[in-house]
Amino acid sequence: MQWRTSLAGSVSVNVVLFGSSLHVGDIGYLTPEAKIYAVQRKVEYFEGREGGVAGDPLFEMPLGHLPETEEVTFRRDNPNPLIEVGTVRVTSLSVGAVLQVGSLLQLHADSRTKHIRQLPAPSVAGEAGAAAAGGGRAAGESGPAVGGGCRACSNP
Amino acid sequence: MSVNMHVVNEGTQVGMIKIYGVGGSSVAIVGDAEVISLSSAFDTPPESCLTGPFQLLPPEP
Repeated sequence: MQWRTSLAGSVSVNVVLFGSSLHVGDIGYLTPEAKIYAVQRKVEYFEGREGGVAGDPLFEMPLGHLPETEEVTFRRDNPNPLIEVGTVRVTSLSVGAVLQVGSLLQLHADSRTKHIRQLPAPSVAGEAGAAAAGGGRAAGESGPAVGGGCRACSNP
Repeated sequence: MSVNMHVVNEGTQVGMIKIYGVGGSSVAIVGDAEVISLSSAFDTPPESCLTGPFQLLPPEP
């Protein structure tokens, strides 16, 4: 295949996190993987060795990549083999994300995120507060938990 | 059955690209690509929302 040339005047990225990458140039094969165990906890305490994920199907199961079995006859003509961008500005790359200036043969990216929230038990004061406020507040906000369960997932 | 595709690239010029975030197995590329396969799983089941007395998570092995 005839590759085109990529030209970026300037690239500015604030943060590159959690298995993400920024590439300038061509790539043959790239397979970023990220496994995230995210815990949102009201109580400010962390034991250090918490968070075992052995046996969790989310981190074991095969992810849904489609098989590349389709027969495609592809013809590409590049009368002007240049891809030109003046400025690229990105605030953040996160969880196995890729920013590339250049050409790429194959990219296979996987990410798995498990999100756990640990909130205080419902209380009588919480129920009164929820009734007054209408219960429309987001998780993680200060104040007592909504009575009758978790306000983020409506779990009783 | 097969797919026939013919592309003519007459040159591409873009002034500025502004992106707030690229996350969760996503890609932003200035260039050509042959194969891109992206997969992402996000799990927030009801039982992941733990209320009640504070308890530690299962320990690491």
